[in-house]
Amino acid sequence: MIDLILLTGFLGAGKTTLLQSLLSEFQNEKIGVIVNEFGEAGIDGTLIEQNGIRIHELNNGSIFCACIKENFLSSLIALSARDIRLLFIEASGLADPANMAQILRTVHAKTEVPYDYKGSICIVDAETFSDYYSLLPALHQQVACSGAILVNKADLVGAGALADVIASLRAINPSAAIEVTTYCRTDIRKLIDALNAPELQDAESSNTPESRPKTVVLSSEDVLPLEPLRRFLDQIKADTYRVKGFAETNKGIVYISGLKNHLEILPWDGAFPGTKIVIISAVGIQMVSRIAKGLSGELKEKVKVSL
Amino acid sequence: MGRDLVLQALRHEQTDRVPWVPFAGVHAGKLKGYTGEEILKDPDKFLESLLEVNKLYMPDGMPVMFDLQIEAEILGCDLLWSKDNPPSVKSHPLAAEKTIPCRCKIPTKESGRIPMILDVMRRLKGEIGEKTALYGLVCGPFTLASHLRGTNIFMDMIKDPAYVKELVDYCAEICIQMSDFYIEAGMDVIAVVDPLVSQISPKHIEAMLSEGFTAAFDFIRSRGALSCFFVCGNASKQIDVMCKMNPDGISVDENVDLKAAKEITDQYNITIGGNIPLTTTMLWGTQQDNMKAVIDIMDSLDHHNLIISPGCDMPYSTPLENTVAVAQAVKNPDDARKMIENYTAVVDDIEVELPDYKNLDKVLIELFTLDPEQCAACTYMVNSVVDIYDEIKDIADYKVYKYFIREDIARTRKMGLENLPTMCINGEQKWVSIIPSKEELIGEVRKYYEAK
Repeated sequence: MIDLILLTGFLGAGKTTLLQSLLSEFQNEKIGVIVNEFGEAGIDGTLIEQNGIRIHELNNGSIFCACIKENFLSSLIALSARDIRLLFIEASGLADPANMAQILRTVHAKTEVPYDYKGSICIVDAETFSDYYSLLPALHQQVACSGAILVNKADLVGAGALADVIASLRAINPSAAIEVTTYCRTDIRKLIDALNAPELQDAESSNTPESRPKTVVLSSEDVLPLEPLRRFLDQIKADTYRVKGFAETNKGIVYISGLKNHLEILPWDGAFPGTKIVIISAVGIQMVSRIAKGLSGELKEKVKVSL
Repeated sequence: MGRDLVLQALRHEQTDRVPWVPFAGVHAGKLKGYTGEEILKDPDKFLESLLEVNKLYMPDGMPVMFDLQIEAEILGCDLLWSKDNPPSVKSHPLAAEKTIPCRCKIPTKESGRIPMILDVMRRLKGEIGEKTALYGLVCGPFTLASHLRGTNIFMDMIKDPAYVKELVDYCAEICIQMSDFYIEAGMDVIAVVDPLVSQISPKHIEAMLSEGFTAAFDFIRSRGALSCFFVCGNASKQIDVMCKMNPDGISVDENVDLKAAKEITDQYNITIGGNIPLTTTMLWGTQQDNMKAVIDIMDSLDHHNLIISPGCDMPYSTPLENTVAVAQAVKNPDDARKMIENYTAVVDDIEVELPDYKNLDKVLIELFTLDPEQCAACTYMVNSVVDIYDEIKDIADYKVYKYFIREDIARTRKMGLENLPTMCINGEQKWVSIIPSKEELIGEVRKYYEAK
């Protein structure tokens, strides 16, 4: 049996951070990973790349959406033949895992070694959850389908707000274990033991092609000026759900991670996939216009915008 | 050089003379004895025809493929091919299901006829790209949305604007993707061609179309190319809202008073192009008529921010000598002015009889069109009647007139119609360049029937 654990959570909540902790905790085990991103660029795959881990990247949509569900099924089947004991799936931030049961049933007959679905860990951003909850039906589903919930970034909110978030989560999912964390720091093994194997019910995922947000990719073959890049990203960040990527700048290679008004640009010394920044729009197709207007001077010359 | 003239005009710089951009779509094939279908499917015949356009008409800029059905075909619309016209859409995949197509259907460089188009673009760029500005034409997001959804989209605009916005945004993504491919293949200008925009009120345009179109124009500029917005039909009321979408240029047809339109585009510092009448002048007129049309336009307008073009895609059978006359007039206006000094155009008025509207048994709906198959606005206006005809067939008849048939031109004149398409009921103009919703149309027909 291959233990299967799903990680869900909205963009920027801390899924990749938790995945990194899981990989280091289980470094002596044979592990497979499926990473699902909205943009075309494989940013998360680069962040977690380690020797000996089987990584399948599924981009350009949610794995639960009809657009790429077929690729997801193929990945599950392929990985089941690859001598692994544990499979972590990092779902995209807007993934609605309601039809996980149906997916596992579909692949069951075709897998070499069967999957044992341990449940999903949902990471909730304590700071933004209340704002996004009413807007995005996928967030409700992520919480409702989870076996354990990490209320992350607890250091960024007051005690009252934290209690409110926990109360909302309880109302949506009365049985999941709830832990309050910062940087997803927790006792990983305990967390997995506490996973409530969910009762999988058939439901339609809300990830239809209609509900998919617009993604814009910035890429470049040139060295970019860091300060103008920072100013540009600062200028557009409020209109995004998420900004994530790598860039080669005049101050070295940087890793960029932005979530609404938080933007981090950090030095990066890992593998570098080339300059590629994925921007998930909170303003639909208008994002293209905001980006086109925001790019100026050297940046405008060097950065290529594409969908 | 010609290319510089076009680029200067679209960058709103002063030019030595007004640039000339003929829209030779399937007409290019006529020059080499090929059908429309042949050149739109065969890269060698297509390239050969485009080189002939370049040689004979000496354009400063020219479009590569004038076919608004490329994207629709990839997204599953069936096409009706023609010898002397671009294909038209005959089925609408979203007609029965109000959904947004999957993102996986957005065209790639390998989809449909795109590999062939990119191949021709690259070869043409190599042959004439240094001296001639090349235009890549993409189907506008609203026309593409209508190709997908059919005439239902007009009712959706009233009943479910959120859906229409989402569908148009999706089509704008396709428009951006196509622009990306064409710019990479060397196109200097990307024209977003959306004939149907003239059929929608400015209020509805702002609510449902503006964001998608603006994103496309902004994208094109961000990639270092220039953008144009082509529309046909009477877009007089829409020019202002089109300017707000921020294209570098706008191109209109003979339905628009170019002088009045240019006053608006000048306020936004946007270049305007147009609007030599396609049928009456280019197809049926004489060389003098064509020179006169050009000189009339040039003498009535300030030459800054101006491009001379046909109103839209030239008819297949446009006489070569007429287009040559236009090119001469644009390039040597003083000579042309002398040649037409004492010339008055002859109006070709065939005698036609109008129906006795007061004594008809049934209500008569008359659809006056430029071309019901090729002008998208006309197609949708005709379909708005055809689609509901079963419900009114006991009380109404309908007729379709085409502005490329001499009798129909004379009839259009006799009716005193100034814009096409126009729908008349019992001889009265009811919808001019606006497509009525199903309820509106049926209601109006019933009203006329009851009044009998």
